[in-house]
Amino acid sequence: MTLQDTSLPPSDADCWTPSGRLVMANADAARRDVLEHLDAAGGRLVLDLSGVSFMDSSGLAVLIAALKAAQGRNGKVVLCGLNTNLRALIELTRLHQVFDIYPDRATAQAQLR
Amino acid sequence: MIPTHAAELTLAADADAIAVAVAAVLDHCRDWTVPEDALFQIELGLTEALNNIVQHACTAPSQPTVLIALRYNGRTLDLTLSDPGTAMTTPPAPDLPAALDEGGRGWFIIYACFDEVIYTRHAAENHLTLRKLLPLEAH
Repeated sequence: MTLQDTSLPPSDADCWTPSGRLVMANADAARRDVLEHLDAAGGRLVLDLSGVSFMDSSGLAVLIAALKAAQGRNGKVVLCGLNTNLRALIELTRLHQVFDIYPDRATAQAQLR
Repeated sequence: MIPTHAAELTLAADADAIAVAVAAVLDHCRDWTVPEDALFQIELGLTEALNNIVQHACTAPSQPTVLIALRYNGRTLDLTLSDPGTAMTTPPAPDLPAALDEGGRGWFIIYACFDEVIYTRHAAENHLTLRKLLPLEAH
């Protein structure tokens, strides 16, 4: 799994863009990475999951860790770019009641401003 | 007459081995024409079950082997996971944790993805059967 796509323009510094599978094998590293990005973004971060092909409950834990860290500093974390299967997982576990979810990055970024 | 398909595969009880094993199971499912729209739940539930084995049952540094036995008769898919790790003393309740709890969703997901979840222990091994009932396919 690639934790960050470094080809993005600088203005997307408020986005975390993992790619590949977000699962138990890489969840610890992903957790450290998203928290570093959240800190660098001043507590307001878009989790752009458009590059994530599959996620398990360990991946969900990473998202929740980011949300809790943001809430702890009066920040904000939103999700975008969920494919059909990721959306199904989020809804199965009722996390759509916890996260704000947007179809794409631009819409999500607008919510942080 | 609908044929019964069977296969076995093994993996080291290691987090990095899970994705490869799950992909191999899905390949068998596709070869046996398991309905495509069932594959995501199979992938997700099986991944969660293997996560549990690696995290909780097989924690010794010797990395024991997990056996996955697959059986499909055109209507029922059984995935039986066998490992020599620590016994599961009480079947976990299939409940969701509090919304902001980071862990504790694995069993809920397993129960949601499969129609039956059967645990037994004999000969010092755990055996977890994940059963999915599928629409009868024309053969």
